[in-house]
Amino acid sequence: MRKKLVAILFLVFLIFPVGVVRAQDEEFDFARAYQDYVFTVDVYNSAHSEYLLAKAQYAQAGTLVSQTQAREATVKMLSSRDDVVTTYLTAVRMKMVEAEGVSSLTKNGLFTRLDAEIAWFRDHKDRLDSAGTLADLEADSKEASDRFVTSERIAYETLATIPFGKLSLMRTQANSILSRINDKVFQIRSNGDKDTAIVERWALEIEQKITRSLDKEIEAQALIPIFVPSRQNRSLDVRKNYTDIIFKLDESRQFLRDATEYMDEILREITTA
Amino acid sequence: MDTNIDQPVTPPTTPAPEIPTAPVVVTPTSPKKFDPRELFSKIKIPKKILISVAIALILLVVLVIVSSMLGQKRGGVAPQITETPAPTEEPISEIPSQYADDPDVAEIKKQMDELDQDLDEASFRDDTLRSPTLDWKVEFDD
Repeated sequence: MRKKLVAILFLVFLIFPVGVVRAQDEEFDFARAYQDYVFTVDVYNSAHSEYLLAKAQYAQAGTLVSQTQAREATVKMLSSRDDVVTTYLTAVRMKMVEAEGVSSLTKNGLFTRLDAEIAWFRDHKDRLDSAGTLADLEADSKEASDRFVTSERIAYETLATIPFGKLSLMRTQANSILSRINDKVFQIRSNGDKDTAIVERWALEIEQKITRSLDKEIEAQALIPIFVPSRQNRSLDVRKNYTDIIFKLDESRQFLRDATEYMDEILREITTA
Repeated sequence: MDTNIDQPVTPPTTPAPEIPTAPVVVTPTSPKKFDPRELFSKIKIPKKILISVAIALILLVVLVIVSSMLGQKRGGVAPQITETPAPTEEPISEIPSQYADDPDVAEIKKQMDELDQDLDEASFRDDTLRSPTLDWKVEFDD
């Protein structure tokens, strides 16, 4: 009897932690990642204020005590700054995890690059304590600053890629509706119930609208490689490039809106005598 | 025969008729002249009514002056814009075709409504994940 109880308890303990870990994994979504990011930004702001104060005191006093305090405050600030970057990149990653319509290939490519950046900043944070002097910390900060240029580009590339999935799904839907409309029009023409010449011409115009929507998407797609660091685009304004992509995608969406309006007219034509 | 040539020709004289002169009638007395003051003096208006009318007139004048001044301050009276009546459109009566209640058409309509909703609700720009503003310039003047 005892042996059985022990065996049952052993099994329960064996299964229970696995269940807890699985539940934690399931709960970690974009909303949670974003909360973490906001929290670390608050911690960083506080640490940055302390750093500025310690720096000013050291500049004024120049004593060894103030130097030590400045070092500690700087380590704390740099550490929290690394945390901000890692939680930010994690939030971006989670956003991509939840994105619809983006191919697995594209997603995995971006995940690999984002994970490399996250790993770099975690490692950088661990190395901060080993910095002995303020000059070492200056060098550490410079190193992170240089690295963040790449990280920011990958983050914006990810953010710019997400809406492509949404748009792709909507265009697929529009094509599907147009296909069904064409089938219906064909049926009406076969039955000889109505003259469908005008409606068929309108369907062609809808097709053109959908094609123009695709063209705009391709134009936006052409701006994505600009995010990848190269000799030509060292001083790239990532936010501007992101805005340009979103603008083109909005234009693409407008063509789809026009297409649906035309489809609505076709349906009205079909349903009235 | 020669005697007729030397004599001047004179018109035949006829006696002028006598015009009878009208007898002058002399009136004994002239008529009395019309005097309005005399008329007003006859009408008796109560003093109270006169005062109240005078006050009302003064008030009216003051009111006119004040309103004109206010009108000038406000830049005059703004013209009232009245909407021009739009021609009412006759409702077009659409006669439903045999495909009005078609299940395929209803399904297409449903799909289109879903797509419209997606197009309206989809937000491409993500402002919540703008890159954080961080202090990258850590320098100590030794």
